Amino acid sequence: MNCVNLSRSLLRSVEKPARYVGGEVNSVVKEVTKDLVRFGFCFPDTYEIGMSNMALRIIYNILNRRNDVWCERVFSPWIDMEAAMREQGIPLFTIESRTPINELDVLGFTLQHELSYSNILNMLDLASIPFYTHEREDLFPLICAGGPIAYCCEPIADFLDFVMVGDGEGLIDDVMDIIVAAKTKPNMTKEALLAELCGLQGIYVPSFYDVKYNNDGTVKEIEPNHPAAPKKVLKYIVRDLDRVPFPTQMLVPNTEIVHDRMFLEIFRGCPRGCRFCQAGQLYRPVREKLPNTLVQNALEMTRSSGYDELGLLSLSTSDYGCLGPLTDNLLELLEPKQVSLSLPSLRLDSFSMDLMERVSRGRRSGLTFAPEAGTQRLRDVINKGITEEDLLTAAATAFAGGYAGIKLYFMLGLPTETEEDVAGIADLANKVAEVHRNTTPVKGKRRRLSMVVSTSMFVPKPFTPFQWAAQDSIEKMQEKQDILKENIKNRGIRYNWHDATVSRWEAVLARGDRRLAPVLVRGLRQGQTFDAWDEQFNGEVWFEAMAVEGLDPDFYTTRQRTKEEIFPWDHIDCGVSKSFFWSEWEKAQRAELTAECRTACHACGAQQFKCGICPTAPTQIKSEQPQSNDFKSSHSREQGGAAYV
Amino acid sequence: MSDPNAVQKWQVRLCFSIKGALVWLGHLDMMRTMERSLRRAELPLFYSQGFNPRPELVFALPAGVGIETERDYVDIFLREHVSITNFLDRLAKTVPPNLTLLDAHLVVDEKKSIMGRVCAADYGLYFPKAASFGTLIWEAQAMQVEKHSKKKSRIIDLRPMLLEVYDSEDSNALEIKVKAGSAENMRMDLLSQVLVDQFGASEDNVNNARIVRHDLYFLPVKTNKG
Ligand code: SF4
Ligand code: SF4
Repeated sequence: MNCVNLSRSLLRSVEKPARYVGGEVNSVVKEVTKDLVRFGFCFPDTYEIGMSNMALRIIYNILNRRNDVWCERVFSPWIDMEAAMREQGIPLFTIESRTPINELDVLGFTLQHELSYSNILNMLDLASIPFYTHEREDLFPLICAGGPIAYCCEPIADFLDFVMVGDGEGLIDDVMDIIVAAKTKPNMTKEALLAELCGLQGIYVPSFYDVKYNNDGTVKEIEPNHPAAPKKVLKYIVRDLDRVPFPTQMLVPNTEIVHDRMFLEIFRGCPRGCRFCQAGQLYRPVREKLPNTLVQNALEMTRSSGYDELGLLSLSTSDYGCLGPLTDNLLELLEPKQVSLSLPSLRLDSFSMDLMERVSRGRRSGLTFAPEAGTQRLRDVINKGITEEDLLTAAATAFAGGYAGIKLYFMLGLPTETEEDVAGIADLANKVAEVHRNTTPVKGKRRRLSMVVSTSMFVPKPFTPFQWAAQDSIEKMQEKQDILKENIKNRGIRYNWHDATVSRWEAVLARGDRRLAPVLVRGLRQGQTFDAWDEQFNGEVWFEAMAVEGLDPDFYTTRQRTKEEIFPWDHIDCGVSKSFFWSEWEKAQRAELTAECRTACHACGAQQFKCGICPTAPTQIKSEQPQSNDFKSSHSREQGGAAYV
Repeated sequence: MSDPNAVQKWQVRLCFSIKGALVWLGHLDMMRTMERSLRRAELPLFYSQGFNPRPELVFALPAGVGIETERDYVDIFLREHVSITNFLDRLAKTVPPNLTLLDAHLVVDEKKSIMGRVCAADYGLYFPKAASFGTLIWEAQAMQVEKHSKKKSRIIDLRPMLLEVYDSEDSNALEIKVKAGSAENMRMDLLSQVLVDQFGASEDNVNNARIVRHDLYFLPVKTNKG
């Protein structure tokens, strides 16, 4: 086994050397034998971000339970480390054994967002692995990907041997069985192996499909070119999350990471169906874990990790069937162990101030509300059914409870948005400030208001009702930001906005097709990486690269699509039908609401999976669900303090 | 008279060593690592009161990043008595690789914290290539080096902090005793800088040196009973 030598002088010269040296509690080192399949879990960002990802810890555990597979971790080295590695000719290596990653059998990239594409290429480049599938003649290493963006990763499809679409933790074992067997078979070809993998639900082999384009640049057809490839790739779904092996020996980093705590996913999916939200659709239907399993998992994690904080993860925490009893139970067991609980994404009305305090253990930071849009009309367009009154009541409760720091999240550039809607954001912020003036804290001193109003630019995403929508032009985005800069004048309110160029590039990639592959390679050759880091992002590089390749960003961003258009991701099936998305798109134009799953099933397509909260599920566990239409939640944008949305 | 409401605290002094990957942790990371190991061992830690209760851990002297320690000390406060054997047995199962427990004892009636009593340390610097700096630095009148802190940088003289240079059989080694602790502390990164600037050592040789802190020296104990 070859392993990379990291000299003392190298480690002494880089920022935070601890992130490159491993040696963590519960990290796994195995003896390398001829038949052992070596898997690199590649996270295309820094150690601190990658280690905060629950998927990593789950897959790590599932793979390392097997005797025939060794899963190691690989992260993007930070800029300073990368420069030193390139200078000294050090290839990208695994954390566990410092093996150059081109010596592994499988490299699995997790796709959390489109902006990580450049880092994926850079990781391959740092190991001198050719980018394009057709340039890699050897069977190994196989390059694959999974994660939320795997459903629509066409811009990098030409680089990937196969893609795992859906709940990876249920699929990965079957995939590894095939690869383990392939490793011992003489004369195994890549094609034969990929064809075999195609037999599994959720496996997408990009090279087995041909894409043809119309003269206007839209997709003409996507056809399988191999007998093993299905016409459409249906996502893999785990019907019963209680049965998924849970990391009982949790990996614990030695150095501080971004979300340095235990996580427990309480359910997958979201019943709400906000029309801009991709995660809410990709993970349909809602599947809950049983409270008993969760309590069991929490205790095991606490014991094996020594962490003092547990975060409950989901897309919309208050939509968990029996959240009250669950948190009571968890608090009762965890408090004596000095473990605190954080609940991102929950509905404010479902909690007493008392519980809120116990849960956040007195930390008065990070209260986040996400009304997303400034007027009722626009909130109805996006199917975010909250009202102004909901927000003001919630704010009053928070201020009365002694909170003074509050964040409001909005999106600019949503379909049908007018100037009035934009100004509505400032109005709403001012009204919240007024609530603060008129609220006396129940206990404790009155604290000065510190409100942050934050806007991001709407990026239309595949597999949402807004996949047909146009994104605003840069000029329009900036005009809207200017309106807000002018209208938010209160001294206690700070306005934060997101760089419009980043959103534009993100929008290109989100609905991009395979013609973007050479653009990505060009950008990388210019040294452009870490696009998700504001200070590293340089849009010019990307838009220039597009120009060289003869592509127009407007084609991908500001163009509204027609009903007939074939999308670059139409051969992937997330379960929810295109016709359901279209009907939702039409309802959006009329500002018509669609009730959440538990109130009414709209037969979105996910009923085919016969599980979770769909009426088609065989044994449905009906849980007590408060039906008030108050605060609904959105993603846990910040997994830190409580986010009430 | 002692406060009847005061919770009894048991102070355990643990001696341990650090090598390998753990050498690259900053001090805060080291504290978290120790804290989580103690929590995994389910030892009855004493927690501070208040909004965000934390276990009390007092480290004698954080070693700089990149320095191994052979005898490092931390005081751990417990709310229940645990026998030393039991304490060590449980903790040994939960510490990360490269952290070795050496011994522990119960501390009674020490007035001054362990942190305040550190006065000197023995270090060994092991260079990859031949380097005999012992006599040179011992005979130097001054060893001036620029010390950068957050806002300003200033020139300091390391020579007065050099207490002893030991003989070593190994011609690539430098074995020294230096002032250490909160008042005056000779930093090994600064010493390395001096070796390059003043004594012509090659940067490569110095930066690749393995640096080991053998042990610490403490001022004598004053007990509560005088
Ligand atoms: S089929 Fe019905 S219940 Fe199931 S996810 Fe779709 S809308 Fe919700
Ligand atoms: S509540 Fe959140 S996760 Fe659910 S659909 Fe809306 S934005 Fe998406």
